[in-house]
Amino acid sequence: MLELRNINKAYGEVVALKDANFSIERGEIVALLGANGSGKSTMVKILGGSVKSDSGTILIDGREVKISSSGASRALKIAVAYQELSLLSRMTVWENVMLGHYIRGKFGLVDQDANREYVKALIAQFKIDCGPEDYPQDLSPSTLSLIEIIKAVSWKPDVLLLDEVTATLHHNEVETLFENLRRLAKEGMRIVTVTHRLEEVFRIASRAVILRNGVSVADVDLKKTDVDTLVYHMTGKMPEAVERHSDADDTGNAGDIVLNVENVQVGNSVKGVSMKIRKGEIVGLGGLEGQGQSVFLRSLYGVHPLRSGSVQLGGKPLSLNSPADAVKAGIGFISGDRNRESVFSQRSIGENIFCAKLSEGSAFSFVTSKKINHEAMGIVESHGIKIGKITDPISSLSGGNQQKVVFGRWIYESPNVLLLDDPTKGVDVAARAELHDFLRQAAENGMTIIMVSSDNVELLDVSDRIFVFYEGQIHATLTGEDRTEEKLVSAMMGMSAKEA
Amino acid sequence: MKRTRVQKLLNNTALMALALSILLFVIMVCFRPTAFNLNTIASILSFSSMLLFVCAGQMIVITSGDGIDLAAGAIMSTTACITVEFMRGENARLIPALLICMVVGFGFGLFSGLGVAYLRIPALIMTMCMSNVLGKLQLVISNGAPRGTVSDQLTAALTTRYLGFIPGILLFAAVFYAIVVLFMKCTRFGHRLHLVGTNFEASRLSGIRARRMRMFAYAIAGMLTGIGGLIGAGYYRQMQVATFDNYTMQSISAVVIGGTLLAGGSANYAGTITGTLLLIVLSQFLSAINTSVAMRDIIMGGMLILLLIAYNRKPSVRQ
Amino acid sequence: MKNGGFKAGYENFKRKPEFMGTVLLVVIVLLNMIMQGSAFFRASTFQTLFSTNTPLIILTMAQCVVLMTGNIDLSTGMTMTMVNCFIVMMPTLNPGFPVWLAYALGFCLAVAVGVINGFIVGYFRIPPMLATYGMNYIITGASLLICDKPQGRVAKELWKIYKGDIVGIPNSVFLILVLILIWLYIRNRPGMKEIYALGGDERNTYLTGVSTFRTTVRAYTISGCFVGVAGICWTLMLAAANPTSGDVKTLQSIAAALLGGTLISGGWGSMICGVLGATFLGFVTNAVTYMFTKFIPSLIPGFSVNTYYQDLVSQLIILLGITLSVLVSNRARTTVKRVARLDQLKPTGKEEERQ
Repeated sequence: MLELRNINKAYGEVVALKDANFSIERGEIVALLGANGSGKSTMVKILGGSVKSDSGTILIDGREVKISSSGASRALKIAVAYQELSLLSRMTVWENVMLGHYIRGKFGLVDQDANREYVKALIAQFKIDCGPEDYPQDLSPSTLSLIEIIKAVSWKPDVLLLDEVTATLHHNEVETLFENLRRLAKEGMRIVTVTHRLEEVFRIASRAVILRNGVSVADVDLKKTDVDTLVYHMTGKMPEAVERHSDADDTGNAGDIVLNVENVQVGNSVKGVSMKIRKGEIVGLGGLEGQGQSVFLRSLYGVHPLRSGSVQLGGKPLSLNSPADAVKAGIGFISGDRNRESVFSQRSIGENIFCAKLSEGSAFSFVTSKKINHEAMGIVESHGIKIGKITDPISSLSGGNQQKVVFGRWIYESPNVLLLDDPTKGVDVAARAELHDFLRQAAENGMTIIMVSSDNVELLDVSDRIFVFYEGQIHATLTGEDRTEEKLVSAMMGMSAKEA
Repeated sequence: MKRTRVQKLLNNTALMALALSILLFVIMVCFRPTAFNLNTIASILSFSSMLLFVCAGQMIVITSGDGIDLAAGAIMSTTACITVEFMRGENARLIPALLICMVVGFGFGLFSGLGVAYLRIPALIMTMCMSNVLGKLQLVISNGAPRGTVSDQLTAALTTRYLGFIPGILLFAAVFYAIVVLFMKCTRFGHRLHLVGTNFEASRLSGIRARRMRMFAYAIAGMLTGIGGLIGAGYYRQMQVATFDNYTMQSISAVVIGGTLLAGGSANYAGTITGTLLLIVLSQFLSAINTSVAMRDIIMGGMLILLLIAYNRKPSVRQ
Repeated sequence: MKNGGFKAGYENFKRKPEFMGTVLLVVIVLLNMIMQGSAFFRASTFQTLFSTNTPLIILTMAQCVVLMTGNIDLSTGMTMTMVNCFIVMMPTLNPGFPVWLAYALGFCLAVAVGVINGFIVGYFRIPPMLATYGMNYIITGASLLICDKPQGRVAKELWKIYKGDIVGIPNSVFLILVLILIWLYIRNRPGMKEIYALGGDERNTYLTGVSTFRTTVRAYTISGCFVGVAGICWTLMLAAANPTSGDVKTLQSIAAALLGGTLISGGWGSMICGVLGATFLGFVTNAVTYMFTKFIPSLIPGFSVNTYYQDLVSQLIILLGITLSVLVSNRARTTVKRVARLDQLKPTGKEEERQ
């Protein structure tokens, strides 16, 4: 039996796993479920060796083991098929699959034929549409997912972890995969599947372990439960059916249409999204992580180019090559990934507030630190942000206060449209409430706000309308009375009226 | 936890560099008491001033984030050769010479910056290639050996020793550096550059044209180094090819020792001055105790590696 | 059927890393043939061409292995010089020191440098460019310490072997062929595949359980071995010790590797690419010299330009070649990154310039 006991992992202030538990016996297929931020990906990465747990024990057949690196994980006969794929684009399929454990021939050389045959057999078993000599760049996303899977299987592991591998697979590919998984389980392999597709879970797994906010909240026998109960464990709410979205439903508050999005497609992540947003509205974009809402939002800021479709701002077509263009057009952006995307940690609070304004104007125009600090101080005072001195580095503030500073930056810049991507991630409750007040105040003053959030309570609290994303498209729109957590949860899981 | 005064002083990189310089000077004088005269001090100040012209540009490039300029010394040498060939001793040609050096330096820097910022050629490779091209260009322009000299007035202005030990070049360097600091601290460009160097993605998402900033960092550095070429030529009166090439390595070390972060985003103005001073004193020290040129290279290289181990490591793949 | 086989073979070849280098080489040989006519094919031309270029060719082969891991080595040229100085000066300064031992130890010296570089880059994770740049300075100093000015002798019997030939083919060519055979062997070892993987994507290679540290050290060590051989050839070619002559060779070897088709981003290329690129560079220098001294003057009477212009043109060609190669490699990288995931477009923070 593989057992994880009391695993703790925190990334700075954000707690990913808290005393989490998990176990799996030989021959079992267990589903690891959880909503956004539940910690399931972290658990997979800890088992895979790419993340180190802060505390807790891992036991294999009663023996305590330490997984200190990816290599150690493989040595313990654990193999992971990763969500973001671990394939190398310039090596052939067989070179990718057998990497790290090539079959050797004479003189210690790689036995090309033996490796090719071995991979060919796996390809046939999983009915993959490719040959061992193909290169990943020529294959479709679903084929690549399957290759990632056989790469893990080729190690003949005792424990196989599949992290969101079915998301790109077509229906019959999923069936073939499940047949193979059942076969492998019968041969004694322990299989853990992490997925957000709940109907699939019932088809393949016998047990489900549900994580919520980093804690293992339930361990259920799938024969004795149903989808609604799973959703309840994952979110704390029983799901309630909601009508599927159609572009015709576009009731909103009265007001001018500020942003008109028509059939936008971005890369492989956004597959045709349309919406009309009015001035002064607060629109929420919800859904499980990675369903395209974040990519869509950023495409409105010039970060990602549109594959097709169009966007109009204030009636005029919007064409952005970079965020600098967006700022010029009167759009602002606040990210939840503070450290990578919004905060200049060694710089002072004053500079952090002033930086959006700093992007305007000629390069040679005169501006002293004194002026920056003075103007920033104005914002700090009028919005009650608690700081030491305006010249302190922003890293001296707590996460919540840092985010307030970032909000201050955009309030100072005062764009017409403000885009937010999970802005209150990792922020304490009090600060979060204050930030919501900022938003409401700004909307009342005419700012149009579009916010992506993985926190349902926040979405319901703040948004006038909520668009729920599922697999690259808008699955449902919640307005008025429909804005309940039960309906939101159901829409997030991709359930539609006829299912619930 | 209250920091003691001593700890605070120790953390002040600029001050530490100054202290080390003085310490090394004292040790040198102990070894060679004859070294303690106004002439030595004047030399140290002169060479530091000359090196400062290159260090200013290097500081700007490093501050722009993930940047380095290995062509710095070559730009200085090239503009110095151009100065000498152009001026031919006529003082009237001073201003035009200055303008030419600035434009030429700006151009070379712009070329490097384009490659680094837009073509994504790694900074080290791009500037190293530039350095090589400039090395050959100097030979072409000057046909192997630059002829001509700068005007007597220029040399006099630079080499006169006021009060016996303050060289004229120090005053030029002081004014020059003051303007650079003013530019970096008080213009939008300077502030933006710091943000770009601190967090490229965040600056981009704040509306700053981050890539353009990176390119101009190299261009401006080239321009400043070009001025340095004129001054350097003025100090020596005549020029040889590749005189200032070893300033590249020294400028990197000086800037990093002075406390400017190699990763970018944090320029230490006082530190660059004291770092430059330290490097020149170190150089004098090594020659005073009769180290060979070879040993000097080994020490400089070893010091750079140690600095890198301390200041600039890539994050590990495992979290 | 034969035709079909040939066409498929050609399509296959187009996908290999050696393709670009072969094309360039063919072009330059044709150019030389046009300019020099049959004079180009004299044995003596090839003799000098290869014996002077063999050290660069071997140095480029060494550089290719390091580039394939996504790293770089800026100290190869001076390491070769240090080996040269050591080999010549050891017996000179210590009479009675066995010459064969000097050669053996010189070789080991290069390997040691490789291992040290591998450690600094692989364990301390210092960006390879800066780390090997610093190392270069240390080695430059060390070379000067061993030998302060060009001096020394190499036994006539030894360098005659190097500059000799068998059935008209220069001995250095045989050496290169032997090294290519060695490459063809190690290319198919699992360790080499791991080197390619590391250069392709460090994170994915790590996730597959491969030790990035060991792979890095392996690449630099192999490079060190080849640099050692280059050092021996350099010694035989110079027939003396010269402490500063190898300096330019480093950048030339990088340029040659890139021109031959090895990508600077890693994960693509081979030592044969290196041979092709370095041979190309040798022919280019030859062509540029010939063009400026004989060809253009024959078209435009009275045209004469000093060697400085030729040097400049060579350097510019190198710069151009490197630029083109980096552009191609960057473009290949963006089209190839069509990853399968839904949230593939999550921003990655600081850019790839973290080399």
